[in-house]
Amino acid sequence: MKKIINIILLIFVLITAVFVSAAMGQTKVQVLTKTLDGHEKWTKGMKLEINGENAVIHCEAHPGNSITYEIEIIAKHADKERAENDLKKMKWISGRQGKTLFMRNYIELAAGDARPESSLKVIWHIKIPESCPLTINNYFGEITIENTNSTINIISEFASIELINTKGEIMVESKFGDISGKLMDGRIEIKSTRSNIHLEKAAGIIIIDAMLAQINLEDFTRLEVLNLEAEKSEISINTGNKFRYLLDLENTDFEKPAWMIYDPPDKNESIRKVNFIELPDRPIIQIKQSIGTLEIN
Amino acid sequence: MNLSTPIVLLTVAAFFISMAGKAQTDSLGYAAEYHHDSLVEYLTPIEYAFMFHEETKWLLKSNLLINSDYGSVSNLKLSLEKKIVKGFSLNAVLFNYTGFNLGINPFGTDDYGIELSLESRWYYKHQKYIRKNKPTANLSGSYLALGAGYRKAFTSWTSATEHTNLEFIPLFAKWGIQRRFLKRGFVDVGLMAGWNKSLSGDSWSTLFFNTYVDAGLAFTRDRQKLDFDKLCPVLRCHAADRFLLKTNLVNIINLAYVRESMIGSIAPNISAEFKIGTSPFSINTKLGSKFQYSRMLNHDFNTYAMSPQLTIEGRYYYSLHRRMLMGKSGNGLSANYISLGATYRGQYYTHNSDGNNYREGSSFVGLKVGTGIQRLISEHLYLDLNIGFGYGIAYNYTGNPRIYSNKGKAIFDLGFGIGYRF
Repeated sequence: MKKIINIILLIFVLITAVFVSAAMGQTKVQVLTKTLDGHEKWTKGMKLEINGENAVIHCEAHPGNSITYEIEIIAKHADKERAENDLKKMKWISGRQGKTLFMRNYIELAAGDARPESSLKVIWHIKIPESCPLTINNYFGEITIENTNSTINIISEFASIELINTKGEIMVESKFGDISGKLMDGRIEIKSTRSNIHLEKAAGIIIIDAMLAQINLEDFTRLEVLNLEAEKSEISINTGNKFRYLLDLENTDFEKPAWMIYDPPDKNESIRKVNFIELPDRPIIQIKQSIGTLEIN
Repeated sequence: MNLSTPIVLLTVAAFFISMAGKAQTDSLGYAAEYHHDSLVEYLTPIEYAFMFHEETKWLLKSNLLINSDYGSVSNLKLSLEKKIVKGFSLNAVLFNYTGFNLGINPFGTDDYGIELSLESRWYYKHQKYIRKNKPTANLSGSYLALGAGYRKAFTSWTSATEHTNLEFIPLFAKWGIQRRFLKRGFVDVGLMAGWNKSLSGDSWSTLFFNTYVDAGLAFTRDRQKLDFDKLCPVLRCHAADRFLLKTNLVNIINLAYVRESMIGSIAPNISAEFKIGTSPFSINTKLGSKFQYSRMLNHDFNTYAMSPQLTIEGRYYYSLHRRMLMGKSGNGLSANYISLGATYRGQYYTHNSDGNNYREGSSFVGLKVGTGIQRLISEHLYLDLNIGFGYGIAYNYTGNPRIYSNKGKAIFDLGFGIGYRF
């Protein structure tokens, strides 16, 4: 009996220790936020270029003739003084050079300065006129663009990209950052390395060059041409039998739909070239894939 | 009672283990930036800046190393280097040199000439690079070279109106280190020794040995676009340098043995630059002196020369804000500038011949305006290319007893500094 009581006591003490220590182990994190806001008058032909680091960039179109911005710089650290010092190291600057308005956030280090220990993040809320051309460079973070009708140029690494209802000439170059798009229209050019691509209800001319990606394309609306070149990728296209297909597949597992009947039939060769023209007046989907999978539904 | 000891121990252990697990807080990690899987990823940022990622089959080089600080010497050199087989290249050089007399040199000589040469280079670390999985075909590396050429030289002694036309066949061997830098730059430094066979008479044939520094623009066809974000640690696009202490290493040591004469010079210099607050203005001061000794081995004649220089100038970095906005620089001292300042420079000679001393010298004090490009590279390097014009008074003395004279004088400066930052 005494032994059982001791065992119960042991379990009780252990559980208590775990919970107590868990409660004690929580560290209060100091969160410091600095907010900047302002606006710049926009005239036709003026471009906006954003150079961000550790930035979460939300950009959307608005009806006014101005570029408005609200920037939150956030530093998190257990030590308030450290967070304050690190917050000062994160700089935000803007200025016009010719017809381009530049905005940049970056960590600035003077000689002898230690690198920041706080978790630093900058959240951008930008509103631009619908037709304002936009360039964004970002490293580590997120980019969201909505409702624009202009030229968009994005170069990013380790940053997820979301484009919603964007029209115009759109160029995206991403490494290690997933790209998703809804209701995109125009000339869309995507170059991705280790970045998954998901496009829904895209229209216009779509050019994709991808390496090591999961590519998922759904429900095209008014597609003019799709040119997809991929390497070591998994491609899934869900469109139905509405297009012509020109496939050049090398070492690719191809799961073809029942409606796709072409001549000559597959002979399980490592290289397959397929020209499927059931609807000759329909836009063409051209896919060149080297190593990977392809699924068309 | 037997159980109580392990219970206490277990409790303490569990407490510490759980504390260690829970005490972690958010922090911003700075991992190494290059962990990708292409060729570039295995290179350090400085190797990337040296263009190790590009297979360079040929390189057209234009030497911009024009130095008129002390010797009033201007060089223009065009080279075409072409890789022939693994580790070997051919380098063709068209070289024009001019020793302008700007009036400071009391000898009043003008020298100019042209040289065409061809050398074969062996990049002898080729195999080592292969073992380390580094790219080997980028014409960047340490090399040994053998070459030959043709030189036509013209000298005028303006004080005596004596002119000399000379033709040479130079045969030479070199050891050097060449690096491409970014897309359009190169540096080539080393030692050179050889024999100038004169076609104008055996008395002009001579052995030579000297150091050399070539730097300037390089052109080739590159496959990849440079990613400036990868170069951030090299180009210091986050740095806000407020104070620079720097020394120009170009031509800091020159050794030459030419026509039975030994010439050696050392040009120590130090510059300090202070940024004024966070503004684009700075104060730059430069103090230096070139000490030169030459000795004719077949005559009792030697010369000591000293060329001190002091410059104090204010600089306005007009492109700093633009570079900051474009992500190419922090709020430091790495941008294009214009400058206005005062300069003093002198040249003092003591000639010893058969136990007799003869002294002469000149100095210049004046104002100077200029423009230039300064870039801070990595932790300890900098580059400063500048051009300037000035006006002031030149003082000359010569002869025994001394004859002093002074007159208004304009100066023209071209400077190419590659150096070390402390």
